[in-house]
Amino acid sequence: MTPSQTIARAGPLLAALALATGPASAAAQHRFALVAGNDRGGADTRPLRYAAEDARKVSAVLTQLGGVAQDDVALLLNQSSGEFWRALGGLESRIAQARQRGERTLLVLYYSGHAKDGELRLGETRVRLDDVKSRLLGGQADIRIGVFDSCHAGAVNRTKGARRAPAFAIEAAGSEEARGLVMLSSASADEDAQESDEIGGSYFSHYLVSGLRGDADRSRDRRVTLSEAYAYAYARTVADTAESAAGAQHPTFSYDLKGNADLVLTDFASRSEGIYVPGDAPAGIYYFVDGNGFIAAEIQKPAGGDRQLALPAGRYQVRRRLADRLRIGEIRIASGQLFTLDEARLRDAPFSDDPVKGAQREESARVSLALGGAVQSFFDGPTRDGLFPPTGMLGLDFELRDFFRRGWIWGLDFASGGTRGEVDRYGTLLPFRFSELTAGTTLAAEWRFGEGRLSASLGLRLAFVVMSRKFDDTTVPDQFFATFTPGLVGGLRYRLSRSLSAFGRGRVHYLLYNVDENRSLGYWELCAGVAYDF
Amino acid sequence: MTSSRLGPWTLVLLGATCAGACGNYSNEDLDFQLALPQRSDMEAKMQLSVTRVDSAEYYLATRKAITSFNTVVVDLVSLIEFVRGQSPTSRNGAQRVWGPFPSDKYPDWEFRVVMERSTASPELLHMDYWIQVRPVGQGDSAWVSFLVGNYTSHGSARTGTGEIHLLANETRAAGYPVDDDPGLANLDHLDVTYNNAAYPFSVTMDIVYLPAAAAQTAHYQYLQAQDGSGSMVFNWQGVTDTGTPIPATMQAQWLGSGAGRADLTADLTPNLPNQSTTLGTDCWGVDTVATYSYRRQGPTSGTAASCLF
Repeated sequence: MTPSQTIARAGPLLAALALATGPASAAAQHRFALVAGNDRGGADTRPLRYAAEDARKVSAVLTQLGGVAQDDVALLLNQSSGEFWRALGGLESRIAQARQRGERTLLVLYYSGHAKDGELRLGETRVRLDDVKSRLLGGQADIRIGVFDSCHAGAVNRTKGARRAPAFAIEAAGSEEARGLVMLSSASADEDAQESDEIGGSYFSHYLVSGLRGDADRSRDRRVTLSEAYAYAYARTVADTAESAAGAQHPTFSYDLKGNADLVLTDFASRSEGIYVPGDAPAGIYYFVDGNGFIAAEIQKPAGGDRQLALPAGRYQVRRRLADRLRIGEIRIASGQLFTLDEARLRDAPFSDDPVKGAQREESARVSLALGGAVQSFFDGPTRDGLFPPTGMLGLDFELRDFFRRGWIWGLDFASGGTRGEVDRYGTLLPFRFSELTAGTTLAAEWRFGEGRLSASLGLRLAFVVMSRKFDDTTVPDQFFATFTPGLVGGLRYRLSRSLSAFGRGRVHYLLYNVDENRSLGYWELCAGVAYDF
Repeated sequence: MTSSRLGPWTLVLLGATCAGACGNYSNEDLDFQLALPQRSDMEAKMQLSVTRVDSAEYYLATRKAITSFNTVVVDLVSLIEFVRGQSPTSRNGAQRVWGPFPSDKYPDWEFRVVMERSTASPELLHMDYWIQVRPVGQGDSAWVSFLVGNYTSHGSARTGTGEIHLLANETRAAGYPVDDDPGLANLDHLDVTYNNAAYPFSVTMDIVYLPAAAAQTAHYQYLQAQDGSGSMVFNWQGVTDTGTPIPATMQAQWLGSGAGRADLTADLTPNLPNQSTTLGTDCWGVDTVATYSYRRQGPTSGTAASCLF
């Protein structure tokens, strides 16, 4: 029997087979991990929202429970292919050194992001899937595990007898240490991998992490093997995506292993820090939401059965969804302690109180706050010279993007500024201090380019301006003028990071001046600044 | 009078109240405000303000005249300065109108200020203005001018020539209770001309009283040079050789330091017009004490050589 022929389709309960084989211990190996997440996939793709966040979660679970030391993890967030290959090369060198020392080694390569046409897309750069496979096949680590959470990622398994099956098991006749390659993908070769605002991540990675934190431990030995984790992630991913618009998503696997021991990916037998849901607690799915509003993990608790999840110390919101309401509460897991969840700590809450970030909003809707500087000047020379002088301003902008409709921006802005000016009346020069306050609202359409990094917008703005001047000659009274001014606004915005953007805007406004006589005036503004997306 | 200074919160409140275009932000309004005389344009200035028991008699007379002169100036300017602190109630081309406002003192009366700009010459700023009163509820024809003024700029908006006429008797005839003000009780009219376009600045003031008043007229003529020196001609009372009081004219002049001289002259020979006779002379130093004093009917002290003029 060739290693590839050891694949066996198994029923939902076959994961228990691994229990009998004496799984390989996480602590017995020197483990390395390359964890890469990239929200951007270059031209013709829409930015993902949670790929980098998924990578962070996977990295965390591997270091906290997976026996991977912090120094042995390369976490690449939104990095290029060059960084990817450099990181992989660095880990391979260290694996070779470890093998020279006689250590058994394991390498986990996890990727979350876009994939298309046989390539992983890391921003504008590409990594060919075949190159990654070749690298893993020829790798020196005793065990290489590739996990690909991306659209059409099943292509990675196409030539190796990939299976869409609820579980796989290793035919085991003893406890011989396993050697070889395992490849997992989040979706078949013709399927999209889906993200969810509800769970704050991709379905597959979310369930993989939840499983590794303990919910996949069907054998109740407080260790999660590769087959347990896969079986759990497969079942939950298919179930949750079955009714989605994109259709059910089927994770796939293939492996080429020698030996007969299943692989323990996480081991929390000696780690009591986490959450315990006793058997008498109501059945259902319990979500544990971290301080950032993302689901750290979840438990699918059966009636009468207890469940345990390894979570790092900290504060969490607990949520259980019922048909007509939520049950929510807050818990604090102390360092080194297992927190037992008491149903009495939960309270009823409407769905609008859902603590999960993004659960209530439209896809991609975001709020941003911007700080910037502006220059304003009137087109008409005499107006500019003696009435309303060119002025510098500082402003604060608040924007809702994609909130009412995708591609639309609604914003409120406030600015204040001033300068010194001088007016000449029949040879008498009157210096003054000019001040201006503005409040505006903008409705604009936005077009995004280059994976959303660059965007251009064009819209309408209505501003209320209050201009005043205070003369140095105190015998001349202060003057002010206030009015509404409609205008056009166009802008460019460049994303510097996931949350931070630089922007530039130009505005052209009409102003009806009506103190001495009715005069139609126009002014322009140029603004630049930085925006932070919440 | 309301404050003319606007705080930031006041501006925001005003702006929000507007809910549309509003305000007083106007270069044109500045022209109207600049055309109005300020106290400093007409006030008489003399370096010395001290008085001593041994100050020269004519120095004290000059100080008294300056004080009276400046009191009238302050009263006049205070009437006009009301406009400077307020935005016009209405703007109509070259005309601005403030009011009508109810009179605090006489509820049956209201007043307004009208200013009109001449468009005859774009280089010159010429304004005519009126302070008018009328009984409440009357039409436009009922407005009576209490004060009439005009101003023409020379060189800059704030330097030029102007006139102010206070028409007390005409206002009295219209029924306005002018005589309730002690300062106006016996006044027929008052005329002021001023010129601050070039040194020496000058102000003349002629006051004409009603026939029943003790005095019939008063005249002041003030000149101010750039170096602080100046002069003032004003009515004073002299005596004839027989000791009979007689209207006389005091002509005082002083340097920037305040040291000066005053001569009191009168026409003692009515049959020979323009034959003025000097009734007395005082010269004083910066301490205001006479350095030379001559009286036609009295002793002379000091030396005439000590006089600066």
